Amino acid sequence: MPSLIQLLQSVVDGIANGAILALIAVGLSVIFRLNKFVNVAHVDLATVGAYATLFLVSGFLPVFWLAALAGIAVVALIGYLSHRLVYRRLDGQRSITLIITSIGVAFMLRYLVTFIWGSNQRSFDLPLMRAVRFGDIRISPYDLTIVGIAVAIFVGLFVIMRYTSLGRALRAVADNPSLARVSGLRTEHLLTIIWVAASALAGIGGILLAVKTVITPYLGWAMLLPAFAAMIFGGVGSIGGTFVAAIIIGIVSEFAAMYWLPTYRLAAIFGVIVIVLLLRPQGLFGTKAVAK
Amino acid sequence: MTAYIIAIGIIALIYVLLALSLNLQWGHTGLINFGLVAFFAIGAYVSGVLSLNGWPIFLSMIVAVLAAAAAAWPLGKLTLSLKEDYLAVIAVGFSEVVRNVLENEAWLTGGPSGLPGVPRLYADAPPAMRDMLLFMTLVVAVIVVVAMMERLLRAPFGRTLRSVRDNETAAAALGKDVVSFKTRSLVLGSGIAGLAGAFYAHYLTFISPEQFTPDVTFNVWIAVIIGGSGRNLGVILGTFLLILFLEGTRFLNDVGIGLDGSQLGALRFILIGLALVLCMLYRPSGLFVKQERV
Amino acid sequence: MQFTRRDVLKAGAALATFAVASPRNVWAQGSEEIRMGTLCPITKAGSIFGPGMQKAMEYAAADINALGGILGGRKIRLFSEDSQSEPDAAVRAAKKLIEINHVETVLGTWSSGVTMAIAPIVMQGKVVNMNVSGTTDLRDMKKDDWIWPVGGSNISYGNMMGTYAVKQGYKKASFLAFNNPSGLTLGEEFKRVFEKAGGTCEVIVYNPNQPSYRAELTRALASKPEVIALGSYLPDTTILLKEWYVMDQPVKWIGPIWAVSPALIQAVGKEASEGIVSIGAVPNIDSPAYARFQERYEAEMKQKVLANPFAAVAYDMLVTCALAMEASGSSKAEDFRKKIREVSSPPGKKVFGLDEALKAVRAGEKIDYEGIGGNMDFDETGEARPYFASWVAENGELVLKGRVDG
Repeated sequence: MPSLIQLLQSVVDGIANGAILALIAVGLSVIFRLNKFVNVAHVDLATVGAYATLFLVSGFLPVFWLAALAGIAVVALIGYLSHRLVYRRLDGQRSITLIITSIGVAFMLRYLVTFIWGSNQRSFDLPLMRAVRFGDIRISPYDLTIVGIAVAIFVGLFVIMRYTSLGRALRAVADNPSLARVSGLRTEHLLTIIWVAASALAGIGGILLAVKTVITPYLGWAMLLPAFAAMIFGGVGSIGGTFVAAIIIGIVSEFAAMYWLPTYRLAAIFGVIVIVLLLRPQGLFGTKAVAK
Repeated sequence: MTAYIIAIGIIALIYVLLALSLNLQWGHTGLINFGLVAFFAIGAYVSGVLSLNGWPIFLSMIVAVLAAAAAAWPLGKLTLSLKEDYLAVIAVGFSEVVRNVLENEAWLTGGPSGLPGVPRLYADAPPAMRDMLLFMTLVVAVIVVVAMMERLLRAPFGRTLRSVRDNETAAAALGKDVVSFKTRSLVLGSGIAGLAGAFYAHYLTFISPEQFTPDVTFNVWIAVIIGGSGRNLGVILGTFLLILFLEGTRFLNDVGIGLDGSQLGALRFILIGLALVLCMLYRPSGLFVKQERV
Repeated sequence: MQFTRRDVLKAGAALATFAVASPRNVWAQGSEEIRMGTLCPITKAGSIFGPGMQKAMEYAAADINALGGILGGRKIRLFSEDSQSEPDAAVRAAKKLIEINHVETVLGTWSSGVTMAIAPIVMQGKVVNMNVSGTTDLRDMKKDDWIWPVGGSNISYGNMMGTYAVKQGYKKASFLAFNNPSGLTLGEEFKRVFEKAGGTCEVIVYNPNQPSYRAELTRALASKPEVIALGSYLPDTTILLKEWYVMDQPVKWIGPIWAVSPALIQAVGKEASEGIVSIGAVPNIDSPAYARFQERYEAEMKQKVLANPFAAVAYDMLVTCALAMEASGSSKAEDFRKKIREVSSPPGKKVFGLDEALKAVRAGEKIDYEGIGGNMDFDETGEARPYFASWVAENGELVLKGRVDG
């Protein structure tokens, strides 16, 4: 029987992974809600974020956090371009068309990165640090930072969405784009903001993931299924829901590896999702009426 | 030269069977099945394991088809009754879990090392003839499947499927048990995918879990969408085009563009991605069908 | 919704053009040249190793051609394909090499799945394959002198790692195994050897491409082992070591050289890698041929030879085939495969350099080519048993410690 400390440790370990997943999944979820398709290329934006930062930190901007900010800007730009040049032109097409398009975009991003940097792994040149101890619980300072950043971002998102006029406008557009358009909101403008923000978040997720692990062209792609899971579990389009769902998934994955079999991490995630969906088809925080 | 073309042809026809399966599920029923490879894998492994245990290949293949079809039933029951269209996403999770199981349950499946030595079809024929015979068998199989599908799709069953695809609420209002029809389509299509898997196993004679990743599903989707879903001939041509493109870009190596190996490899995939995007932007209904107004 | 005749014609024309424009023997210039094929993992899983392996074979072909070629001045021409580390794609690539490019060899396959999938094709197509795959299925396969595993099987890696651990006096170990034939076999064999000597070993299997291996690592450390052995690859090893450093629980590490390589040290830094032991097939470090190869390779590929242990071996593959061709008087695989052992395994005069080897073979001498990557000594089943050695990471460098004998 695992001790309480061990259980708590697994929870803590799971939260850090979940935080990164949340950043990547939230954009996926919002885009699904808005544009009715799963943007497979979204996770590759995380990869691009990591590589853009690597490029900058190795040359022009040796200060890591500056390079990271610039890297995020690069990802936001790419998100913007893919929205303007590609996805917006396909507005109104069936979702499968958009999905296939996003597969194409994903290939282009991933293999462009491979073309330029090769497939050998890279890392950020950041110092390794020992864990901080809270009693018998260990937390890496990096994990603390990652969770801190994620929480700050999500709190910020929540505040914006709830308490600002921008947030109200964004929610109106998300809930009912045609009505929003008719009622005079600058829908196109707002949609662009959402795309850019979603992309930036994915970029942040990718950079944080790269800090924790290694940089390879498959960095983001490996998160695709967990991101899907978080999206459905949390309720499509729900920012808070995605956050909670991602954290839970991180914890479930850790528990599965510790107390069942590490090779069944993914199966455990999907098992939990399926059970939740059977009981609550709209996910944790989703709304019931969403178009097919 | 001919042997190479036949080899490509065999893989192409196997993919055609997968494309036909998807055409039934997506083209005619509107199901976004992103878990197709799971049934491909089940077909391959069931036929492989049985035939390695002495079962005659013919019998193994039949059981493989039935197994794949049967496996679709719980997936359908699970996802098709959900309000949201989560089939796409859950199906891909399903296919990865299937692959997980194939990797872990080594006592049955050989685990990650895979199953070598799966008996060939036409093992008694001289080597030169074997592939040719297999090719012709596949052609026959494709024709049979197409004929069967055409019959089914012209019949009331097919009309109901299309009405479900086009307007589910209306179909339900007319008293059709929408979930039941969708499940049937899923099951039937998965059986065809299982058949493709069985052929695959007996052709390569070596199968391992790493060959059954979602990449296979995506390839088939690309073939179906680019070919033009709904029309069997369209998806068949789309499959051939996909294979031609995948193989054709290989010859970039010989032409020696002056890039090194890994860059060339990456370039191939960049081009494939670009082709996909362009095709969707300019011919979203598919290359071999008239463009619909959506 | 119909598609018109025109559409069908258009499609047909496109397909026909492809078929016609497909390479015929446009490139079969002159029966003089000797065609050899390479099939390395240029993309996907093995892509850390593939490009380097292909490059090494290009060097070998260039070196041989610079010395005047073989069999009376005939030059070697390479046809290279990407196996994509996938059996499916590899089969098509192999067919293309054999049927269209008419090569005599398909060299350099890495993934066990790839080698197993192309094995029947290679044998049917009567070409020689040399590979660095580790699966034990290759050991049991009837290879009939067509297929030559050169890299050191997974069993021998596991054996060597286990032997080393036993020699160090460890009694309690954990093994972290990547969930694929390589990792699993390394683990099984390590455990067998370790437990035979009286120790205890727990094997923990993990899946790749995860953001964290904290749980797996915790499980490995749960029994308080003295050493953790790895059947892993570079990315996961990097993450494991980083997380271990965070956890700050003392333990020794042993891993295979393709994972515990200079690239690992670069990724995790000196402190985290200090003392980690690497076990691998040892290149012929003392040979001047190795030094020349190392200089060239590291300058062009920007990758240390030790970080890609298969590259040096790939060079040897091509050289061995060429020497066998010279010895047999024929460039046909059916003929020269019979001479592969003769030129590369004992008994015979040990030669280390290409020039020396060629001269000796032409003079009719029986030689034992010692490659730059390994000894290329094949046993009766056709498998090369390389020498193994251990390295230890000291202050950011991998230092060779000596031979490991199992």
